[in-house]
Amino acid sequence: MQAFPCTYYDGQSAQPHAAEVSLASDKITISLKDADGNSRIIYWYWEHVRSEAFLYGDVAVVKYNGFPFQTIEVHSHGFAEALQALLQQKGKPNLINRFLHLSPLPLMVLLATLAGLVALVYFLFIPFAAVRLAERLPVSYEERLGNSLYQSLSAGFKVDQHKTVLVNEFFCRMQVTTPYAVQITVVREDVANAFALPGGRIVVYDEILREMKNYDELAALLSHELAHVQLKHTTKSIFRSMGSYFLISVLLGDVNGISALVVQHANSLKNLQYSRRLEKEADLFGLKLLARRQIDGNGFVRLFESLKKQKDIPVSEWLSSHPDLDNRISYLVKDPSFNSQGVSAHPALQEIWVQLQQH
Amino acid sequence: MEPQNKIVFLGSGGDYFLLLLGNMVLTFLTLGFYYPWARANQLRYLYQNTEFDSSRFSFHGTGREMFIGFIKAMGILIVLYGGYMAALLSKNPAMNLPATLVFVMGLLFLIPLALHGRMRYRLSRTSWRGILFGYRGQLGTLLRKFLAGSFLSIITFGIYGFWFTIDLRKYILNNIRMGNVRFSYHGTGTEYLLLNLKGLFLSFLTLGIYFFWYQKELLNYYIEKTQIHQDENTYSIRSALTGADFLKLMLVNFFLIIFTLGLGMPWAQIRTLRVIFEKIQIPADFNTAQIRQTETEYTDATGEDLANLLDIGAI
Repeated sequence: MQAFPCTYYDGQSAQPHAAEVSLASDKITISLKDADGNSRIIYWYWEHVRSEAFLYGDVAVVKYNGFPFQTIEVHSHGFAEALQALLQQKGKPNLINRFLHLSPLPLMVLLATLAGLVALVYFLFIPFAAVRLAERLPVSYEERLGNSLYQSLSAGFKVDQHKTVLVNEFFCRMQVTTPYAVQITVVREDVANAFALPGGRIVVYDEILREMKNYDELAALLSHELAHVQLKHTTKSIFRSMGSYFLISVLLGDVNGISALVVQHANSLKNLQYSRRLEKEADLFGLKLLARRQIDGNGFVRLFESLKKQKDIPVSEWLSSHPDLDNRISYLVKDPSFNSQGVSAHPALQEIWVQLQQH
Repeated sequence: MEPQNKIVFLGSGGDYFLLLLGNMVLTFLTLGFYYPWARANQLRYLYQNTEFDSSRFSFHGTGREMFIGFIKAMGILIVLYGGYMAALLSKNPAMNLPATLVFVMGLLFLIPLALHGRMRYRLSRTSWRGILFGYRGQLGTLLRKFLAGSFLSIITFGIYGFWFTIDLRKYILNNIRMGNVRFSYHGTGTEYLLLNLKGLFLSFLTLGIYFFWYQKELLNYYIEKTQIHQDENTYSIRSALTGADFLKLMLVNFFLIIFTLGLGMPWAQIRTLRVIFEKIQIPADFNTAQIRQTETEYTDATGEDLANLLDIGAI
């Protein structure tokens, strides 16, 4: 049995002791001279040796598993190799070591597969699951979610009480049947915008009301936003971004970030852009709603024309997720439901509209 | 004969990159459950590649211990965050204020708990030549210091924060043991405040160039105000890190990270450790052969995991 010179630490102090070590299939034998010059033999049976034995270049460090915490350091090529051979018989290298010792090709294949898997989850599974989940979510949950989002948003709102009352009344007179308790809030803001929260809350900025010339434009706007509520567009997109965020957090190992999500999301709702498909869906849903009430579908056309005037730079449809306004007008006018049941006068709506304009 | 008592970091960027990559893959494949093992692998690598007086440090914490801690820490956080979310989502707006207060107080209690647990676990699983490290701090004392310090920092608009930081650092460092070796910290809040004021002011005057010297001074203030005590002897630690060293370190790291879209991060971390450790000087008459074993093992990793989940850095 070959003996290798080594440094032995007895676990009682950091005092180095010169020693000799030899390896056998059942144990490690360490022999040294103590302070008084007497020979001492120490046996480490393999089951008491820490499974992580470390090789650093030509230095091997082996530790005893138990009290006292003895250690040997061996500076010798032969020892490192003999130890490695023995360890391979005894222990199993851990998963990471196995991974590290893979050759580059399988590693690349593994990584590519993984990237594909991530893409699949991100682009297919999450949107699919978000839609399914949103569809099954009861209205009462959506209302609760919408209310709490509204609470965190409303801190920054300057609500126009008078217009809020009038617009809600306007919506009642449109006599729309919906399972959602629709609550509209008019907010003083210089941007022409409106958005829907899950569960029936709709927020309208008063600037967009000022852009309108006719009551059917307001009817068109409200029916479009109602479509986002009733088709659960906001709920779906919240679930979708929560899913994406969760995936990213797991990938980055950042579990802490998830909690901040809901609060962060409240603010981004103001600028929430639905996909072009969802906008079109909401436009057509709104158009059918107007047709059923015999409200002029040209309300949409006029609304988009006014918004177009307000926009100085025309944005190409491909650059923005909102379909180009001309494009929206053209598909709305061509749709078979456009004024399909005729148009009649709505003096009640007209009356509220006049009151709205007086302020 | 090699120079005595040198700290050398021998990790390599390539190995560390592969280790982190492997950790990430396995953490993902296991939906996050590999995280504690990943963390143990990472710590083991960093400790094993740090050499003091020609012997390596070793971290013998295990994924299993850290997993148990991970589950406990997750449980605590889920209860806290879940309770908060439930209160916010409930229809009752009157709940919002008390729920927020309970949540913030909960976090205030958790941070010292996590710090204490991390120090106890991490140090008791760290050894050098078989000599165990240890942490002797008391949770109650740390909690009291933390709450009082947070309160004073809030009512002084953050100014007390400088004294608070030094006070915590002092308490933690004074309670670290390496066998019979003690450490102590001698910084003061006033000096620390002045150091920061000077750094900010000069950075502003020099359009940010002094910033590197400022950061170097903060780091050196940490290192050089720490002393080592063995039996009756006291040794001061020095750091030879200069502003130019720090500037070079940060600039290269910056390009390493930017031009690789973040993939160079492991190399940057390795370089940082190498440079900082290389510049630490421990007096040659500090006799490592006289270090004696005094500490016992402690295996509860809840604090370690809680600190990771809350993203708290210590030491």
